[in-house]
Amino acid sequence: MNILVCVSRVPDTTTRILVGPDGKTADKTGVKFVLNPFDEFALEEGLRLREKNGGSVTAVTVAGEVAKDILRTSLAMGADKVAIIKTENEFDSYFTAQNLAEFASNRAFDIILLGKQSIDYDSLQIPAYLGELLGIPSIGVVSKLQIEGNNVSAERDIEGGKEIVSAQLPCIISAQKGLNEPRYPKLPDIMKAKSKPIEEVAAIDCQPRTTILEMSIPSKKRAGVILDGSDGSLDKLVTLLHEEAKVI
Amino acid sequence: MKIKKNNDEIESYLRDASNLKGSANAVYLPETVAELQKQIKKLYHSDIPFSIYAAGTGLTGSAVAEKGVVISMELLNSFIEFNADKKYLKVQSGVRLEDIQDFLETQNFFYPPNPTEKLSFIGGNIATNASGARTFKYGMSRNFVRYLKLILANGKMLELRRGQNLATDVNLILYADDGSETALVLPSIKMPNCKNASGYYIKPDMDAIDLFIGSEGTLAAVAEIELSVLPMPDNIMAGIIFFNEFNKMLEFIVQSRDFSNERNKIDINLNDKPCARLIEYFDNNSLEFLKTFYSQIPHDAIGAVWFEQEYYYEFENIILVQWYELITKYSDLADGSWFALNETEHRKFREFRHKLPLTINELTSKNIQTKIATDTAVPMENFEKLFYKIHEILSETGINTCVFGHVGNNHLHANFFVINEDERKVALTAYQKIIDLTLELQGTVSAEHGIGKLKKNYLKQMYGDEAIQAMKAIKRALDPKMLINQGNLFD
Ligand SMILES: Cc1cc2nc3c(=O)[nH]c(=O)nc-3n(C[C@H](O)[C@H](O)[C@H](O)COP(=O)(O)OP(=O)(O)OC[C@H]3O[C@@H](n4cnc5c(N)ncnc54)[C@H](O)[C@@H]3O)c2cc1C
Repeated sequence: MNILVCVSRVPDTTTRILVGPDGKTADKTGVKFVLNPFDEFALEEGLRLREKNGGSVTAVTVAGEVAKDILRTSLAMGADKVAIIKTENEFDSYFTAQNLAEFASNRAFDIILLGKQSIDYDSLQIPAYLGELLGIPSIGVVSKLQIEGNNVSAERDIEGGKEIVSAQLPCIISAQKGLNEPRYPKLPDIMKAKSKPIEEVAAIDCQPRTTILEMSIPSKKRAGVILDGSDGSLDKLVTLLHEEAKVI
Repeated sequence: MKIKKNNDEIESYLRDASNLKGSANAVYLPETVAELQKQIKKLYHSDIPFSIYAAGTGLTGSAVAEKGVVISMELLNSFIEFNADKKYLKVQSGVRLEDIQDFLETQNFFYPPNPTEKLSFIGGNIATNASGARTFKYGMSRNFVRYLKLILANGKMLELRRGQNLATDVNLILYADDGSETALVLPSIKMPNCKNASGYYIKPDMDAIDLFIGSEGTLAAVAEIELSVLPMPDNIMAGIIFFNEFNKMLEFIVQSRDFSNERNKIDINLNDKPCARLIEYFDNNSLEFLKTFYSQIPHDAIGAVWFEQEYYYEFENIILVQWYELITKYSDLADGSWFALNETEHRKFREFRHKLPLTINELTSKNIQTKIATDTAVPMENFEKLFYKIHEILSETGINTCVFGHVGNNHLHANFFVINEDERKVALTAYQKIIDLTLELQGTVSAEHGIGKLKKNYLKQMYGDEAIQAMKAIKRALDPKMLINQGNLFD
C-alpha cells in the first residue's frame, strides 16, 4: 500500500499566541512548534495500514525550511520517506492543496491521510480541496477506519452522532481524535530518522485565493456573576437576564 | 472581602485531597493583603482559631480546619512583578502553579520546582515546601524563595528577604513592621540528610525565611512571594524506559542518579554525556494501573523509569547514543522504550506521570477511604535498602498496592488501596513498618507532602517528644494563642 500523510507544523497547543506588529501574522518569537496533533492520528493510521498491508508511508509538508523538524518527528514515528514542498512565503489553504495535489498526482498513492484540521489556521479546507483537485473521494473527520481490499468503510463524527460511509481506494481520509493512540517514538527509530534524507521539492507557482487583512486576539470574556441560592437572588437573576443579558 | 457562611458554600473548604473532613463556621476570602491583615487581627483579638486554605490539593489534611473559621487565599491571585534581568517573579500567594508556569513560558522562563499537582497555589507550595520531579536537579521550593511577605497570627506584618535575616548561632530575631521584635532560641534538632518536609526547618545560623517555608501555615499566613526563576533550557530530551528485570532496573536507577548528580554540576553547554534532571520510578502495579489508559506499555515490563535531560543541541546525537548503550545494558526492552525530543511528547510523558496519582486518588475516593500512602526518603547511601525492603513489605501484605516516586531523590511513595477495615489494618501495619525502616535508615517520614493532621505520630517518632515540644515552643512564641492552623504538626 502506497500511503501519503500530509503533515503541518503548528504552534504548540499551550503556547500563547500574540499578533505581530503588522497586525496580520502571528508573532513567532519564543513560540515552540510541533507536529499538528491531528496529523499524529493520520500518521499513526498510515503506519498501521503499512504494518497490516505492507508498502510504505511518505510524510509531506508544504512549508519553509524550519519545518524539517516535524519531518524528523514523522520519521522517528516510523514514516519511510519524507518530503518538503518548499516555500518561504505566506500562503493559504488553496496554495497548500494545489501543491499537495501536484506532489500526489504522479506518485500513485492508494490513500492520502491528513489531520482533520491544523490547529493554527483551522481552515479545515485541505482534505476537500485535495479530493476535488485529484478527482477522488474525500472523507472528513474520521474516527474509525476499516479497509478490506479496495473497500473503505469510515465512521465519521457528526453533530450529535456517528455516520458510516463507504468509498473505494484511492481516497482521502482526514483524521479525528480517537482514530487511534499515536505511538511514542523509540530510540532506534529516532537514531535512524536522523540519517534519512529529506526530499526537497520546489513549490509550484500558484496564486493564493485569500489574503489575511487583519488578525486579532479575542477580547476577554466578561466575568460571570455568582448568585447565592436565596429567594432574593431569584429576582435578581430575572432582572439580570432581562436587563444585562437581554435574553428574556 | 467576600464571606461565605452557608453550609453548602463552605463544604468544599472543609476537605482536601486526603479526604479528611473538618468543620468551621465561615470562610473569609480577602481580596487584598490589607484585608487579609485586618481580618487576621480581628480574629486574634476575638480569640477565634483560623485555618488557611489554598487550593486544597494537600494530602495530609493540613488545610482542613478543625474549628473556628477558614481564610481562603483564592482571591489573592495577582501577579505583581516579573523581572527577566534579575530573574524573579513576584506574586500573591493564591496564584496557581499552572498560571505561573504558563506565564513564564510566554517569557521563555520556568520555575524549576514543579510539584505534579499544577492546580495547587504557590502559597500552598511554599507552606508545604513542595517539590517535584525536577527537584532532583534543582532542589525543593525552598531554594527558589527570595522574599516573603507574611502576616503573623497577631496581624503584624513580617517581611523577609533571603540573606538579610540570619540567626547568630541559635539566636534568631524577627522584626515585624511595627518595630516589635520576637527573639527565638533555636533548639538543636538533627534534620535528616535528604529531601525533607517534616516539621520546622531549624539549623544554627539559619535564614529566618527558611523557618516559615514548609511550616504548613502554623507560623504565619504567606501573603506575597518573590520566586527565583530561570531561563528555559533550549533543548530537552526525555525517555520512559521499561525494564524486565528488577535488580537491573535498580542498578540503572542508582547509576544514572550518581552520574547525573556529578554532571549536573557541569554547564550544559559543555556536557556531552547522559545527565538527567529528573528520575522517576513506576513499579509493576503502577504500570498495571496505567495500562488502562496506555496500551503501548510493553507486556513484559515489570517497572519503568522516566527521565528528562537538558542539553545543548550540538550534542544531541552523541548523548542519545550513550543513553541507548546504557539502557540496553540494563534492559531487554530498550527498543520498546519511549523517547521524546519535542514539547508535545514531553507533555505526554508528564501527563503519563501525573495520571498515576490522579488514578490512585480517584480509586481511593471510590473506595470511600482516606488515602494511605507513604512519602519517605532516605540519605543516598541507604536508598537501595529502602527500595528492596519497601517492595518486600508491600508484597507481604497481599493487598492491592503500588510504588512510584522520585527515585533520583531517594524518595518513594508506597500506596495502599484498601476496601474494608481488615485491609486497612494490614495497610497501616505495613505503613508503620516502612516508617520504622525509613527511620532506621536515617530518613524522613515525609519528604514532600508534609505532616498536616494525618502524620503527626510519625513526626513524633522521627524527632522524639523533646524536639516536638521545642517546635511547639517556636509556634507559641509567634502565635501565643495557638490560633493559626490548629492541629497541624502537633497537638
Ligand atoms: C494528584 C496530586 C499530586 C501531588 N503531587 C505533589 C508533588 O509532586 N509534590 C508535592 O510536594 N506535593 C504534591 N501533592 C500535594 C499538594 O499538591 C502539595 O502539598 C501542595 O503544595 C499543596 O498546595 P495547595 O495550594 O493545594 O495547599 P492546601 O492543600 O490548600 O494547603 C496546604 C497547607 O499549606 C497551608 N497554606 C496554604 N497557603 C498558605 C498561605 N498562603 N499561607 C500560609 N499557609 C498556607 C495550608 O494551611 C495547609 O497547611 C500532590 C497532590 C495531589 C492531589
